[in-house]
Amino acid sequence: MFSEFINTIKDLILHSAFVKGNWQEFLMLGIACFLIYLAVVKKYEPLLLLPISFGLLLANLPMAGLSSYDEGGLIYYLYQGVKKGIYPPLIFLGIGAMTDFGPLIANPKSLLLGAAAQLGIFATFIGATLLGFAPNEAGSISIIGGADGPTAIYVTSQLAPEMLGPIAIAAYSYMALVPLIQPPIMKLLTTKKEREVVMQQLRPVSKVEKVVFPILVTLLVSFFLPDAAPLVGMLMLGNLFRESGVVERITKTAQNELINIITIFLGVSVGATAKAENFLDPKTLGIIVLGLLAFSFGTAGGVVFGKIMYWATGGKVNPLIGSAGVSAVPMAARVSQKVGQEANPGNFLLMHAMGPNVAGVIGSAVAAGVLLSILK
Amino acid sequence: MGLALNVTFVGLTVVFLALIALCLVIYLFSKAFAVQKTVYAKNSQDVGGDKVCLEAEDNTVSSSNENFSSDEELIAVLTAAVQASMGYRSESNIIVKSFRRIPQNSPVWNFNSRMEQLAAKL
Repeated sequence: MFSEFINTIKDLILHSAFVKGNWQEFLMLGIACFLIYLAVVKKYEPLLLLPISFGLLLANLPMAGLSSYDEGGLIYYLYQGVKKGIYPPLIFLGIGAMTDFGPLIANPKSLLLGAAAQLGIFATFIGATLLGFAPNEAGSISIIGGADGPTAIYVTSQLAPEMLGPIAIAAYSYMALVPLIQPPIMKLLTTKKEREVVMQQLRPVSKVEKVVFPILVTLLVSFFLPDAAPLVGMLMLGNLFRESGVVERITKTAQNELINIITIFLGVSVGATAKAENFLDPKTLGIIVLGLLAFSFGTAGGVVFGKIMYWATGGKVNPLIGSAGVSAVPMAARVSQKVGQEANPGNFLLMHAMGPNVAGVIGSAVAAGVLLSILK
Repeated sequence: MGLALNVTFVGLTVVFLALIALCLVIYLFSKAFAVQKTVYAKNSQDVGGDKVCLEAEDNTVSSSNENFSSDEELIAVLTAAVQASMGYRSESNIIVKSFRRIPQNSPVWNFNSRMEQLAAKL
């Protein structure tokens, strides 16, 4: 009887994760804990990074079978929303319901800055191709330069789903680092005189303009690029809810409950794709380096175009607002405000920078449509 | 490398074209539907940017305005402004008894520039 007891205990121990787990899984558990630390203590985009990092932890628990690829589990079924491209458009619905496009409508030239900042995407595509990534992988990596999490997840889930984990982690980590990455590039590419420019106050925007804007954008962008329709269409639907003023209940739901639920499902299931064999790969290092380049080129592209607009308008446009064309809303606009105030303490660039910032959301969705239409 | 350059060139062109088209459409649309600065200036001249005068004599609040809820809000704002200027002392138990609008006497450009400065500070 005693020997049976010992054998049972021995079998339990031999079948436990302590013995069956390998060093790669334990390393991934350490990485997950580090990312949880970044999310909770350093507050790096915690709304997404926390569920992503915990999903990563769950996926790498030895023998638990909790990754997004293990059929039959909860996370497998949650992942279907990512795989079929359902969650990112729903997140965009919530984002549209929370976004005020007034500064963009008041100054439509901001759209050009939003377009210029997408240089980061395409420059990174070239870099990824030079590093030996396949075109679909390069497209997924380059979309990090759009500085838009749902767009990055949407494109990657269509082009290179096996890279979803590292790309999502890189995208959200770099978005949190925008206040560190952008200012040196902005100061390098502008003169003090340019940074001091005070811009003219924006004109008031009528309610009719705000209601017609989402309809116009949806029609125009979808006609140009049907592959961008899911993202842009849902973004503008959310915005129409908000601006119409007649559907307050569903606007509140889109802004709060809906986006919160989808964020949880998306974050956990995306994190749970990062199994050790996918993540611990030299390609992950390439993704991290290229992600940083993407953000840097995007910032530089926006600032350089801002300088062109400064010269073209005779000094009426502050080039710093160009850096807000990366669609990290509203962080990038705040960075423009902060750097502008360092040069001229009485300068308030925030609302001027919000125009390119929200234009960048549209620009990155259009760029995503281009990549999907060429590379899918 | 050829594909990379092709994607870059096509991608940037399409993104710029789409957003330039959007920019033009919004600009044309705003010409038709935007709130014009001249209309604003005309309206503010007509309305006069009325000043509000406080009278605090007893504990009742009265108003000649028909819209009761906006009166309450205005009274709350006036009370807060007076208390803020008096330093929020507990003994400054200010109750707005009544208010009346008086016509604007300063030039319309003075009024407009005050509004612009306030908006810039916000």
